Amino acid sequence: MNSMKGYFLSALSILLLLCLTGCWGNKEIEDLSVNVGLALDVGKESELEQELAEQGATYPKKNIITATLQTVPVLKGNKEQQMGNSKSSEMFLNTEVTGDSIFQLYRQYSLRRYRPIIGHHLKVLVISSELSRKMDLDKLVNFILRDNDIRPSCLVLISTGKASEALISSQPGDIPSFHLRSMVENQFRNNKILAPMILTELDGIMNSGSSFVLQNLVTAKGEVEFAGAGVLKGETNKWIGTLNEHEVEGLNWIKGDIEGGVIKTYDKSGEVLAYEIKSASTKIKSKVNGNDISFHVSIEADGRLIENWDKSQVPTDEKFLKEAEEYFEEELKDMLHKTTRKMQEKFKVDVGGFRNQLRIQHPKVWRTVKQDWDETFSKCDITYDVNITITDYGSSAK
Amino acid sequence: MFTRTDDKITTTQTVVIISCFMLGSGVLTLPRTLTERVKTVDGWISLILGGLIIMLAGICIVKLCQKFPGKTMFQFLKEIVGSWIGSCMCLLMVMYFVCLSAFEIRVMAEVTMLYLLEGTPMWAIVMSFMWIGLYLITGGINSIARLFEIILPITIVVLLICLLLSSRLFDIDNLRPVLGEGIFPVIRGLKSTLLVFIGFEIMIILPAFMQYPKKGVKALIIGTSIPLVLYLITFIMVVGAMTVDGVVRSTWPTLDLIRSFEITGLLFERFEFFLLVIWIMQIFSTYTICFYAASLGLAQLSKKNIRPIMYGLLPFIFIVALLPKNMNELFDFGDFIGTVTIYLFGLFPVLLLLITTIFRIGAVKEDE
Repeated sequence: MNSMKGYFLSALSILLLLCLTGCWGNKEIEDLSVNVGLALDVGKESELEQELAEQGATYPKKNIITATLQTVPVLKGNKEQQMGNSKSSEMFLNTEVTGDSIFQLYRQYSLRRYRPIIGHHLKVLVISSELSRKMDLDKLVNFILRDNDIRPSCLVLISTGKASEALISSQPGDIPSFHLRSMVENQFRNNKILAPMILTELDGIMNSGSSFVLQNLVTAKGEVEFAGAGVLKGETNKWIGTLNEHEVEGLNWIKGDIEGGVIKTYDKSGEVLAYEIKSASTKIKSKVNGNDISFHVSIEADGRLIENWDKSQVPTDEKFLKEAEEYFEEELKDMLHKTTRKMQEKFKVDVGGFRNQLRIQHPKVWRTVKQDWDETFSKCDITYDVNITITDYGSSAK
Repeated sequence: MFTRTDDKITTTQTVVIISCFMLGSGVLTLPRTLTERVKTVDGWISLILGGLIIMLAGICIVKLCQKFPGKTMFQFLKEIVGSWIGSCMCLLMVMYFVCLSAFEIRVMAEVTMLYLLEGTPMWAIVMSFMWIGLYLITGGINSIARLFEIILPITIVVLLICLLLSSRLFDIDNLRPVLGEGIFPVIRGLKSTLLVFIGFEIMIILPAFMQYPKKGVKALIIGTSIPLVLYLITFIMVVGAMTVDGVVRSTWPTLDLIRSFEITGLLFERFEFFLLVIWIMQIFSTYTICFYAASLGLAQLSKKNIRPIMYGLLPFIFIVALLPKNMNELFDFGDFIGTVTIYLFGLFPVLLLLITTIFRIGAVKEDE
């Protein structure tokens, strides 16, 4: 009996040794392609793909989308590292694949690169405005939202030119996806940057049928710049136009997304006056009068007079400060009116969050107008009330 | 023959068991299931109402049990409705607990396979889970209670930290207006809130184990309040960040919320793994207590020793857990269990309570 127990125990302990091998399903991170960025363009096979296709690399598909998958890291041989030529200094690898199903495109990747691709670290998704004009954004992000590896914290951007160009960098050692991801954090320095739109938020907005804006990118000579915003119409989720930088600034004021930045204007003698925003707040009040819906936007800002080119005026003079405040208010109002006009007259969409205010303040009215809100909105009266305060004038009293 | 040892639990332990039982698979899907029905942002009101209703139902069960001190419902049911119907109902309850424990492990396996252990076969996840659960319940109600006392504080702290970290996505406007479409949507949501409070029915056995059965009602109220508060915070944070329209599009909204941000410079960047870990612990607790309730029911019904019954139930739970073919069937299964709860443990005890009061069954009245 006792020896039986002994045998049993020793057999058990040998079996237990199997568990000590640890995780046998592991994959070394060096052997994976970490997908950090994805750019979607209108489908057009690259020269390489055409050549490959001529030799038989093809399968049933429609060439609707060209996806550029940015992956890291790039394996480097010792020789290349020593030579340090410009081509091999790139830290990332961009692979273009053309087809329709984005998931299939991701799987096609494995036909060309040996390291399997993983999506856990996807940081940015750039969509070209041309593709977005033709295709419902909902279809484009469908796979990305559904995938269990890709995190919904991925940032969504839109580009004026080719989206793939946004994933190229002229600076050695720079990974464009990380670069873009970090650049949206600069909102506190510049008010021409929209609040980051992540997939989670995009999903909700698209489902609500509301029109929305996405941060726009322009590219030239390997440099990427945030410029303006792409406007997407809610019913179709398609791109309908672009707001310029100035209008994005106005839009940020309306949405109350100002975290810092500048208002620049010229005084009556044409000299530069600049204002550094310290804090700002926006209140939108909706009024319903019978069938008429109108909005009143009141904006308040505190900040500092930071640049004044006119030597004859000194900020210690109370009168000058009041005058300067008026210049800034004038400038801001002008900006707001331009933005509103663009929204209401050119695009006929509400991207300023007015719908939310009406939904909250007049839920009953909202239910009756929500069906064609964009249409109703473009006829609404919007008034502005701007109050800018200069609290100080920095370390220079002249 | 099954004999009840002096395996007593304190009032705090009772509270902890009830809370751990309630916190189960619901917390990950609650914001969606609730919002799908309510369709406005007022789900949190339904949640509070649902919690109160559950407390009432629980109180009925406790009051009923207090009429038969030291006995579980499996034992005293016969005294109320007769041995034949009583046995049938007990068997039904046992089946209910088997189904519930099977459902919990299946949900656990699905989510683990989706986000944590992609590629690990289902049986491997489910089986290891089941054996450890078996090991725990062989120790009796006291071991279970002591383990739950460790699990619950960890759960609360980690859940709150995860949700707190998500606060930068939170926007109060997403939770307004309150009652914008009147009270009707709130009522509509009541049913799906009742489902997340499954767990109060454990009171059919717990009073028999309590040191001070008189504190049963108090224990139940506190035990229900803890999950209620956690659910409320979860719901508010998730809907506040994802909006009503976003929540309904996500299969596991709570998890998606935690996946929607990364925090750099805080040692860890991603927090969904913590959430999953505590959540697996909670599922484990729900599973074990169900398993225990089912075995206890069978043991008391057949008047046999509980150990072999525990081992015997294991394969049944395994089979039931693997029955749903896909996610839709799984969610339907969950809804079905919820509906059964309402009848079996919501309405039935009220009926029993009426019978016992009218016919003065149950020897000891609590007035002494």
